[in-house]
Amino acid sequence: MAKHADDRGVGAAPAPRRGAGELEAEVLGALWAGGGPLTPTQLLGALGGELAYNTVHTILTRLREKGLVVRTTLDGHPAYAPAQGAAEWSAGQMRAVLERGADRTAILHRFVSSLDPADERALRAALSEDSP
Amino acid sequence: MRIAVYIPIVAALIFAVALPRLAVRRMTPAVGAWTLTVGAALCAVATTWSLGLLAATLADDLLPDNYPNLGVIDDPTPVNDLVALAAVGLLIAGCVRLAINLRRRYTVHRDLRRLCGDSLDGLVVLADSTPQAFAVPGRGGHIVVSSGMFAALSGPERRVLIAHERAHLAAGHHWHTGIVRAAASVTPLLHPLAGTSRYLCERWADEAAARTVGDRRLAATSLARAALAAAGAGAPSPPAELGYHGAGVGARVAALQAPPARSRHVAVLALAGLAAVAVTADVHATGDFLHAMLPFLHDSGR
Repeated sequence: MAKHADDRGVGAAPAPRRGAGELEAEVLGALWAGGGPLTPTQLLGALGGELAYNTVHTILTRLREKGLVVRTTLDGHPAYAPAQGAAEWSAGQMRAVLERGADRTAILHRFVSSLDPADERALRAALSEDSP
Repeated sequence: MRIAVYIPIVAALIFAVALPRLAVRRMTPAVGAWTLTVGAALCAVATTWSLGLLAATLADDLLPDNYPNLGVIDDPTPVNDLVALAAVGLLIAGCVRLAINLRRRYTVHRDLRRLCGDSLDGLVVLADSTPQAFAVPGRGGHIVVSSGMFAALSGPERRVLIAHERAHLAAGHHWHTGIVRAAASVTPLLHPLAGTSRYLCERWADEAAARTVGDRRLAATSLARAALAAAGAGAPSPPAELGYHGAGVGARVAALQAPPARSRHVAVLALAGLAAVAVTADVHATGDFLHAMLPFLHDSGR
């Protein structure tokens, strides 16, 4: 990660610095979240509008070369969608791991763990405080 | 030896009771996690060493009753044989639990590495509407995120998620939780530390992610939204093994909403002192044991 972080050179955007790996993950995440093909413009919106069009285009090209993204069209415009195959295979593998027992995955560092009712109320309060 | 040999066991008990509270409330997540890892490892080694010494006092019983010199040397170890036998039992049970723990860890990581096999980028997407995300260490490390988790979050919130999982890999958090779990499997007294270690590593990654995106509020909302999405979807949640109650996602979100904490050096020093006492006691007990046993060993070798 640190290796990629320097690729952008001095004088790049003042926004928090992100490496190539992070950017690819963000773009791929936005495509998966989209639920269907997105045009580069839609993708920019889904990413939160911080990235330049050219940057996103470069990342999409790189992701296509890796076979993680497929190019298609949406109303005659070029659009991009995540490649399904590998992700479906991975999902199947993960289910197999889970079926061998929940205690096994207790070893993992999960982003979110179990939630008790008090937690749930606190989280809803935190989100409503924050939403516009 | 009479007293010193038991001191590490008492120290482990104090650690198990006091450390979770101290580490969560009085230390930053990184300092707390390190303190916990080093403390748990030291306690496990010192306690096991004590049990080993107690078990070794059975050695004099293994000699034939008509051993010629038995009458002229003192019993080297004033330890009740029942206590010594109990120590043997605890040692065997600890070894078995450690073996089970390590084997399980090995199989899970093997299965997950297979899952991550071809991915060169460090990100593996699961085509699965159940929101879940986790880090898989090894070979540079991978982060695994389901499409459902991506869909639950906004663009900036996804950045928090990715930064969080990468922080786990970059700081080697699996070593921390793995060492504490292994220590707790050898020395069940330390069991409460396993959940605390997991919690502190999550907090550590939360703070790292908040620094990466430069926004603690954003980190808090990302976490809250992910947790609610996962709970709503009935995601398979890991067993509630958190020994520290109320230290779940709610506490993590609250901590991100509060100003960043600072460590109290006094807490760390107190725990380091306790660990030093435990180790010194073991060294002392070992010295006593060897001192008593040396003439004995010398004689039997003749």
